[in-house]
Amino acid sequence: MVAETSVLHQPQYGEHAGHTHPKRPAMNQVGLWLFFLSETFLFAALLSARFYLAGFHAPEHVNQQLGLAITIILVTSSFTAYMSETAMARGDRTNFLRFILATIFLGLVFAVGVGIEWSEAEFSVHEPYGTAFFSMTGLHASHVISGVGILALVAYLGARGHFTKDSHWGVEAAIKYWHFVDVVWVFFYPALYLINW
Amino acid sequence: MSREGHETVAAESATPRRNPITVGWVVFAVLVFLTVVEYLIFLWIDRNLPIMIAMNIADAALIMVYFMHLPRVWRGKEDE
Repeated sequence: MVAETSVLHQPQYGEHAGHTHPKRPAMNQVGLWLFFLSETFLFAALLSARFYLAGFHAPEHVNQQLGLAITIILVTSSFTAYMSETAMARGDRTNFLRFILATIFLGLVFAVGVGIEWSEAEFSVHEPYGTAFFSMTGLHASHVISGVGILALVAYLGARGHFTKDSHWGVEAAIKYWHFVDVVWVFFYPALYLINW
Repeated sequence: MSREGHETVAAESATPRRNPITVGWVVFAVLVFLTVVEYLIFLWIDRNLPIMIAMNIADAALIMVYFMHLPRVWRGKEDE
């Protein structure tokens, strides 16, 4: 506290006339969440388009078992991503690498599952449900693939000794992005496979 | 910072923190459970829209609060 109010300290966001707010938000966190918010509008537009185009009826010709399986795979990848971040926060580089590689693997398995779903789909892109299905899964899968790339970069840097237990914002941001991709699928999965009214 | 502010920070630091690994396992188990229940609801309940929306919000909230650490955004910099 004494160091924070020293003469050399430059005022930053949340500080006025030498007074420091104890609950000042961290700008890197806020920036990342604003990015997630902007992405949310994109995904929400597709979600609403799915119901506008194809109604509130669950489709008959989707592979329900595959949909459930890839959803559980993505949830599991969120768990391994969380464990990876926790390991880095403790300075445990071995488990960090182990869990982040597991996350990458599960992300690739998810992408392959979506590919199988596409190849065996009994509807075309010209039907209302098909338009919604291919655009939603396609946009989401592109985020999964970009997330795999970002995680691979973080794993590479981590293996080379970057990041420490006290300084690993790169790890945290990449893994938050991965969780965001999971949150999107939490809404897309029932919208595409389960919801009926 | 006022004396009251110091006391608030001291009280927050004294709060016992849960083991993050245990938190991870519990949240993961709940998420898988909710996903399987969603599938069963699809099989058993015809008009399932309100239940699905409620379960999706619960799923998303769990991920954002525990895995994405959303509450940290509003924490002070000294907490990082």
